[in-house]
Amino acid sequence: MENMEKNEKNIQVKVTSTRIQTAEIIENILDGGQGAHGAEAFFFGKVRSKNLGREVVAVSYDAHVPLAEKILAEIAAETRVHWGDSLRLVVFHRTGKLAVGEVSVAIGVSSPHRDEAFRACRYVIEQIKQRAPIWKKEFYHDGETTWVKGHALCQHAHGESSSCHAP
Amino acid sequence: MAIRIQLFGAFRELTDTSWVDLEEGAGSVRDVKMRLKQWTAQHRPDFLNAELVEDSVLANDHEILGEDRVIGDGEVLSLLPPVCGG
Repeated sequence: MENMEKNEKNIQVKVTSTRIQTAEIIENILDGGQGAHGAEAFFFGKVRSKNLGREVVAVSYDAHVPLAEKILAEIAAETRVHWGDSLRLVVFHRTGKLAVGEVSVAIGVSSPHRDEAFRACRYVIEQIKQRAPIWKKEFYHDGETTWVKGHALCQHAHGESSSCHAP
Repeated sequence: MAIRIQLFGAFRELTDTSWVDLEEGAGSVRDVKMRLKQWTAQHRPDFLNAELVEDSVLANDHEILGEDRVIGDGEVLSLLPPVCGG
């Protein structure tokens, strides 16, 4: 069963097994700010054909979907604390098997000015890589597969402050 | 009563079902991780990613759990290895 998008007023996040359509991402942000926004920044991460010298033919993403969507929403909310509560964001991440060239993650940010749009967009992708419970397995030309090494998640008790998530 | 640990990432290859049931699961998160390491050594000594348990966290559907958190009998948790999304 597909998980529902988390549609708050200015943040849309989704972890999905269906192909990400970049046009949908752009259209979801396009009229953000109702004329008050002069900047939109987008990042689309795509599957590369080479990694660490090996020829990649596909990747698959696994995710703890409820927790991943919660954390994507938290990351998006943090950008609005850091760079202004008028920001609008869309953050989509794939699960399942993807061919080379397919979009694995899509981020869109709408803001009054370009500086915060660029910064927020960069922040989101960097935080996803460290905090989202998502894992990547690579499939190689020679038939071998490997789970990509990653970042250990923060393990502070709920409610405690942490320096893990500084902008 | 057992606690069920749902497996993610490389840990999905630990079993055919993508979960492990630990008998007499009550204890802290730290205790559960220790029992997971013991389970792996006993049931899957060939599992090449066993050392990942130390670098992994336990979570429920809402949050990552601290090492001192007490786990009750019958709880369903998730074992989350180091992440690499994006």
